[in-house]
This record gives sequence, C-alpha cells and structure tokens, in this order.
Amino acid sequence: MHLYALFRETSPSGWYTVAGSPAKGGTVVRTNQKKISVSAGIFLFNTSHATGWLMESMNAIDLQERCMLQTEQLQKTILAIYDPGEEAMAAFLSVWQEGAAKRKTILTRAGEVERTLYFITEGIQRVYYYDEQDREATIVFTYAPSFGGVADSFLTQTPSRFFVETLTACTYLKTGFQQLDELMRKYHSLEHLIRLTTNFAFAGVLERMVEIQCFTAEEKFRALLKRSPHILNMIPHKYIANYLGIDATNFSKLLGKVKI
Amino acid sequence: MKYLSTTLLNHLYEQTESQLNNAISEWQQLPAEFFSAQPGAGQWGAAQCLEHLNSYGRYYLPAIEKALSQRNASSPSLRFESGWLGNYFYKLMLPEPDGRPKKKMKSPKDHRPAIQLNTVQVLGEFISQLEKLEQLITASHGHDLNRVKVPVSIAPFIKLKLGDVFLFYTAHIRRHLLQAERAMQAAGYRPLNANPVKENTSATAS
Repeated sequence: MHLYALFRETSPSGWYTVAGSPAKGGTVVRTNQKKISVSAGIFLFNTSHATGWLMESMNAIDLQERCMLQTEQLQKTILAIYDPGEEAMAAFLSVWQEGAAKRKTILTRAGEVERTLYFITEGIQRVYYYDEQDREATIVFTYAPSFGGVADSFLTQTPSRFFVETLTACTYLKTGFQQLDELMRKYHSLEHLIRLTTNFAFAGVLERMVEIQCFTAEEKFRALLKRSPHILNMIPHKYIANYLGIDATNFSKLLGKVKI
Repeated sequence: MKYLSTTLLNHLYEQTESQLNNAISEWQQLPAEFFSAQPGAGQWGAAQCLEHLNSYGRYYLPAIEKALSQRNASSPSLRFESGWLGNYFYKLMLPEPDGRPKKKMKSPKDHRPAIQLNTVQVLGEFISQLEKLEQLITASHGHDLNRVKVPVSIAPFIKLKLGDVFLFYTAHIRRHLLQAERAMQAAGYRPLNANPVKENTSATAS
C-alpha cells in the first residue's frame, strides 16, 4: 500500500512529498510539485493559501504513526475474530487504502452496487432505507473500530437497497470486492475469517429482528445504549429516534426517563 | 473586502462544525427548561433564538441550494470580493468582541418566534439546518462565490453574491447563538466547553 501526501514543514520550510507504506515506513522527499495526488485523503488539508496549497504542517513521523494506527486497529479487530496466519494477515492488510469523509457524506446510494468494504477507524455512519414515499428507516449504526458499507450488496455484488452516509466526520480504510475475492480464493484462512465475520453480522440482524418485533421503544433504546452508549452525544437524536421507530418528541421523553 | 474563496469556505465550515458539535454533544442532552426560560420580560429564551434562526434557514438554505443548482457550470474563482451591501449586512450582524450585539434590531414580523415552542422540535430543526448548511458550504467549493447570486429574504428583487450571503447568514447564526447561550446561563446553565460559539469572531481577510 502506498501513501502519498504533500505537506509543508515550517522548518526547514518548503514542500515535501511523503511516500511510503504503513508496514515498511515512509520516506520524505523534497519536491517542487504544486499539484497534489493523494490516495490517503485524511492527510489532505485542502486549504488554499496565497498561491499554491497550504497543508497543515505535519511531520513524517506523525503521518506514518497515524497510518500505522489505522492498520493496527484493523489487525486487532481481525485477531479478535480469528487469526488467519502470518502470511494471510500480511496479504490481507496490504489491500487497504486510507480514506476520509466529512459529516453527512453519502458513501453508497441505493441502486448502486457496493464495491467497497470499509473499516471505520474514526466516526459514526448509518445504513438506511429511503424511498419515494419519504419513508426512512435507519437499519444500523456503524462506528469505529468496525466494518461498514452495505454488507449484502458487497458480498453478492448486486445493487444496494440502502444508502450509507457519515453522521460525523469519518476516517476509514477501504478495499474493493475484487481484491478481497482474490484473497479469499488464495487463502482459505481468509475465507474462514470472512465467514466468521458474516456469521456475527447475521446473528446481529436476527437479534435486531426480535427487538423490532417484540421490544417496546424503551427496551429498544436500552438495548441500543448497552451496545453503543457513546452515540447519544455524538450524533443528532433524530437518527436515534428513527432507528427506534419513534418521533423526536417521544424520543426526548424517553431520554428523560432512561437517563441516569 | 477580499477573501480567498477556499479559505473563507473552510473557515465557515469549521465554525459551523464547532457549533454543530456543541449542539449535538451538549444542548441535545439538556432539559427543556433551559431552552424555554426567558431571561427577562419580553426577552427571548434560547428556544426562541433558535426558532428565529430556523425561520431564516427555511428561506435561505433552499434559496442557496437553488442558486447553486442554476449555476452548475460556474467554475470556482480564487478570490471573493464582497459587495458593499453584502458587507454592510455582514458588519451589521457581527457581534462585539464581548459577544454582545453592536446594535439591537427589531425582527421582521415573520421572524418573531412564539413564546410557547416545542423545544425538542426547534433544536432538532436547528441541528438539521446546520447539517444542511455544511453540505451547501462544501458544494460551493465548485462555484464562483462572486457570480452565484441569492435573493435576500426582505427584498427578493435584491440579489447578493453567494459569498456575502454565507458571511451574513453565518454571522447572524453566531449572533443569536450567543444570545441563546446568555439566556441559558441566566437559567442556570453552565457550559462544559469554553464557549465554542464565541471563537472566530471574523473571517480571515486576505
């Protein structure tokens, strides 16, 4: 995985390009290049200043560390599910690229095939259904550190029925279906890993089915708070109300009742 | 006044993001009493300040969106130069360094909020409007802030540059968020963060 970012150092001043891989470390090269080609969106601070570009000054070590942290986060999450072995793990970690999105960015639209699997390293996203009759259903919240995107569309490579959007500014790693598919064909242990991951997701969906069919709004809210207590003060409450299937005013009453 | 377009848009985005974070992480969790309490007879409570802002958002956000859609092909320009009238409106809205308004103004009839309000609904709409504003600021990076024109709410036959509209619209938000915070503090609210609304009293000029 290669990472390019142009940044400006205050001392010594000038423009630099960082090129490197999170696994092997990066090198810093002085450059006169004014245009930016960035595969790692998180390092791009697109603030125009005078002529040319001003990047937030950041030294190469920070850049490298930030990148390492994201990959480490992914590795940790994987190991908690299943250890695919050293070679397979290295191959798996090498197919991810960094990305970033502002608040309320639509990452996938209904009707499109989900080509990307995300591993969210910072921020909160939601998968939701929305139709011409203005009906909206928040299916699931996804947040760091976990996988995101429309799972069924990604795995079957058929058009998604859902939208994915960020609810806060997000950073993530992403990979394509082709890359992952090739890896799964090559390494049985990775196929096993993906199967275990989908098992967990499937179990989660069935659990939510029970909540939707049997639980009162209050019970659903308590279940959500148990799973994801932090989202309460990180996203607008209208999304949580929508997830619970109640309106904002009733949600507020619920909040007053349930809060400690 | 001249601005670098990208710098201006980034500045306004960050300011909106910080207001939004404050509303989401703090205001959303507070009991309704803080928002409904009026600091004095005839003085607006926080919910009224927000509803006043919402009433302008209901006009300006769709108006900006429409203006952007009509100028699809317009390419961005490096600099934005504010017009005299736009700059006048902007300066009129700017709070003093202590956060108090320079001059008291009387709101037009359509923008005077009721006393009895559904505070949850009002705050929810305010948050949605800030989300929308951020999206519009982001979308504007691809447009010329001088050439896209938006009709003003009090006199739709007057059209101002998009850059001017962003400047006075966001200054107006800041003005009334400060007022809302004063009203909430009078009701006993103590903010956790050191006043994020007060930062960035003016956009950076080039």
